[in-house]
Amino acid sequence: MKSSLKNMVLVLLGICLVTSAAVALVYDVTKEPIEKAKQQKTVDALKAVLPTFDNQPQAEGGVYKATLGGQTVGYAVESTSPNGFNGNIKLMVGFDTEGTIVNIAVLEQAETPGLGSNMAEEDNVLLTSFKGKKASELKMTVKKDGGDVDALTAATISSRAYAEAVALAYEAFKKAKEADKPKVVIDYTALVPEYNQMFDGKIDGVKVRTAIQGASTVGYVIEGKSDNGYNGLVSLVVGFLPDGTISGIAVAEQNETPGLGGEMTSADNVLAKSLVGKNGAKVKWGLKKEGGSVDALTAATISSRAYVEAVEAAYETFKKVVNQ
Amino acid sequence: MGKNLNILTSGIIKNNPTFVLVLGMCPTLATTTSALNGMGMGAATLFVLVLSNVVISLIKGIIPDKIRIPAYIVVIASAVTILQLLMQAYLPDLYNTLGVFIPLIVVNCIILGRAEAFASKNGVWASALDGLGVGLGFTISLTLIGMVREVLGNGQIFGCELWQGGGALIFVLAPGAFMVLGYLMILFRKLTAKTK
Repeated sequence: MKSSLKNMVLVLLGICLVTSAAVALVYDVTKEPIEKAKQQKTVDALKAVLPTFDNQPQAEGGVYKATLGGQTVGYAVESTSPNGFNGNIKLMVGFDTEGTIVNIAVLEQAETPGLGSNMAEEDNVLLTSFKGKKASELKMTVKKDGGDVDALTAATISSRAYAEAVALAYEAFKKAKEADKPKVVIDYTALVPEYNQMFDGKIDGVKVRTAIQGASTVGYVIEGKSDNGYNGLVSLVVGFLPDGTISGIAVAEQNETPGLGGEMTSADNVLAKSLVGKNGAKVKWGLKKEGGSVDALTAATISSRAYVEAVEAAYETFKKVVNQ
Repeated sequence: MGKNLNILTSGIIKNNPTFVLVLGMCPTLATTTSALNGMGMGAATLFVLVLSNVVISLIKGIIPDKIRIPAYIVVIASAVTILQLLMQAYLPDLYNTLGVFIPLIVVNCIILGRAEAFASKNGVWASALDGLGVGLGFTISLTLIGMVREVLGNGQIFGCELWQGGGALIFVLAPGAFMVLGYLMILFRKLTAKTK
């Protein structure tokens, strides 16, 4: 057919209209199945990498939280390393609540078949160097680079990227777990007598709040910490009257064993009972069985010791405050 | 009927796109790491080839000469997009394996070549058969290369293990693709020369 400007424009426009209509039609028909196929892939991966769960985990910034009967049982993290041999390596890494790697599924990879692509095989050396290990105790680089990870034969670059993706996932897991921790809101009014103003201050890096009623100081709220808990940090806030009497104790942070050391958070536990109302100067800092004056929690001597240490630290700060 | 059969077999043997015309080498070398991948790539190309050949032979009468290439490209690109959507919906695993080579079918010279050389000069039925023939030729060639590479490289065929311990990995890597392609080309030429 002879070309003229008019017929060229019209024909090309017509072809574009018809073909785009056809594409739109197919898009419409396949939209749902595509979505389903993608979701199915995610669900399959979640099932493979998480402990048994009964909720429908939703992604929040690439992190899926799994619960069983309302209790959090684990987190699955989607993470991508751009440093594969052939582009992105996308993994789904499952952690239980303690940070143990349950399993890892490869969502996307285009590594060399027979070499790097073995990362997607069952029980390959890469996977087994992570599976069942506690992430915090693992150096997530390949052995060649001084880490704990066995690399796939003749696929060091792929293995490095895999390890990188797992490390990224662990970072995201830590953040998600941190964000999920119930925020402890401390009621300062319960720790000191009634006040109408509270000033924030610091002494030697320790937070000290001064409660003032009218013109006189009625009490202080002082932080006290100990790193010697059964599971690390025990952080308290202690209320003092101006004469040094402990007027109240609240727990700001602790990771002690629930039911044993964790009892320190409950109201009227023996630790708080044997300290609140006493003057700091008269307390013999230490547990009763070690010659002190404080009752310990049942079967939680280490946690109790840390608690006493933290209160004592707060009392030391109190003395500095009063001497100023 | 004899003529139709001739069109069909010409694409597979006399005008085999891989071993005779040596067209579309990029997907041929890259996706034939296993028999199944090669077959998937071949089948995808076959789908686009038949669809674009049919459409182009239908509209050949209304396309002005000067814009025939852009018109063909629009048709081919739409066919590829349709294929892409269908594969994502119903064959997501194969789609992920073939990756970027599916959208790249748009620029596969076999398809534009058949549009220009055949579909723009022949009827719908003949064009469909030509697309089918060349598509089958491409699929068979890719599957063959994939099979040889998979057997020699991994000791497997269509994912089934033939023997333990794999094989010479070089056949799965890029150099193996060139070697297998070259030797298969020699073999193909030798066989077809005899039958002539």
